Amino acid sequence: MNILTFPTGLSSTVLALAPNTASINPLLVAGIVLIAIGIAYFAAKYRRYRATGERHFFERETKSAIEHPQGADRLEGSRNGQRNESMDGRNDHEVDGALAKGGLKGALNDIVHH
Amino acid sequence: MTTPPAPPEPQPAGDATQATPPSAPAGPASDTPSQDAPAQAQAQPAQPITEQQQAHATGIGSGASGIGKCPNCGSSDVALDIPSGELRCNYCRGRFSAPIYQDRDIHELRGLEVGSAAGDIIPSADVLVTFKCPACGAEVVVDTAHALQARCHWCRNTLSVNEQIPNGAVPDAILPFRLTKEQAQAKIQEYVDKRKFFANRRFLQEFTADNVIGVYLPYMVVDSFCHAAFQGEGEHETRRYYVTVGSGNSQHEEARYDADVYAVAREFDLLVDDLTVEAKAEYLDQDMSRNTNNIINAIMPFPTEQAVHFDANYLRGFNCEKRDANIEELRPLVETQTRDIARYRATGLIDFYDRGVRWEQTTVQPYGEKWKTAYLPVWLYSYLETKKDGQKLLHYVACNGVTGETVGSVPLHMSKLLGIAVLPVILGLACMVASIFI
Repeated sequence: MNILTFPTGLSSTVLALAPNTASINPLLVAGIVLIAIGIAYFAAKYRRYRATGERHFFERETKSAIEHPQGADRLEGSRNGQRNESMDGRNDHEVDGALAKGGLKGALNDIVHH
Repeated sequence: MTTPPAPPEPQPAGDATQATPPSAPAGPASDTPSQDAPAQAQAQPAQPITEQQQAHATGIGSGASGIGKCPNCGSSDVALDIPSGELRCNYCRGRFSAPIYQDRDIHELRGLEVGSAAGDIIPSADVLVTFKCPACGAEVVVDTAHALQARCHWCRNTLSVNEQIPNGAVPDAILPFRLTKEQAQAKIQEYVDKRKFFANRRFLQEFTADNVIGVYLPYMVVDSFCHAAFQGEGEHETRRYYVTVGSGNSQHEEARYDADVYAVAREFDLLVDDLTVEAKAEYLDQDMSRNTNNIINAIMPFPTEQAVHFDANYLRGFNCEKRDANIEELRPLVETQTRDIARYRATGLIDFYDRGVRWEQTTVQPYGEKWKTAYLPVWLYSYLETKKDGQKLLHYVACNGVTGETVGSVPLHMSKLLGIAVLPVILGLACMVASIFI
């Protein structure tokens, strides 16, 4: 760990946070984790009380059946060295017909107007 | 497409010399026995309804508006007996039911079929319906904006509106309540009890489950037989490995993925049974920043296969709201939701693509569809929260009147929640500041 002997001020703050060859400051990590915990706790309680995540999951709860499935698959090439566990632009699970929206906006609205 | 290679595992290989795409693999592909319909039924745009196609009138009970009599004794004092789900005559205690609303086989749907009560609302249609009481001859007016029954003030017979009138008040079908008010009150009380710590203080003081009201809400219920086709790109992971990045003390390992890329196409016939959407414009607005209408949506699904032909006697003791949305206003939503259902069912046909699929083209073409209106039962508790700056928000706690599914929005004690949630944030900021000096 480095002990700063410079006077406090923006320049010294920037120097302190600039990456260097020293290991990451555990206090910095703890600080980020605690802030994340506080935000996550608020979000979880808000969601539970206001039921902002609740909707009718019609895509799986509506009775449906498929018949005469057909398909074609053609190998086109490969993509190597990708960083993401899922392909870019994946949309096979997307749902466009859910009407419920505005949970985050509602939370911010409640914070401002409480 | 050129002659495709043998499809990758786990899909069964077709004949590699085929010029046409091989059949899609087995899996959860079909929930019903295969039908020959698709060979004959080419996808076509939905056709306007014709008189021949129009569904039969759905009014039942006495078969027409007027006195909905008990078939045993002729009394009009008939109401729903919730535990049994039957209508009960309060005079002779006889029980009877309206017949179950039977839909045609979805495979038989061609073009657009509209239930006799699901036609367009005529804005000028009278909300006041005048009956001549068959028992005593008095003229009785029913305000269909608020009720579908009225009592003759002379002979006290109950007069019911069962005929379809074009103001959205009378539906094709009704799903009777199966949960009693006491059961609903218990469920709503239990739901709120689990959310007391951060609940608004005034709400807790004013909340009482006695204020739960039974209401029939209007919905459009849609059956659809259509053809869905998807085209896109999918990836299948071939290798996963780890590479070392960084240097010195910040050196660490990161995952890397190699994948084969495929052009993917899937198509199938899709049968959708009783897709249910709110038929009131107010409830289609589910912006949670200004209302809690998502609660009404979240208690679905209803067991619509238990719905019966509409009879106004089922409404006695309950409120009801009439629909104000027509088919053409709801069509974009229904089409989008049908596409979503198709996409969801397609996931069972693309298991091989463990890294996912990006669908670039989706088409859903209907062979036929059937629209009908229904009143579905909800036990509802509502609370109007007024915030310190005067802003108002109507909170619902709703209980599905058949399944008992209970969902609600409980107003928050924001100061308390913020006060507790901000503690780790303040501590975290302090740690970050301290990290500068240490």
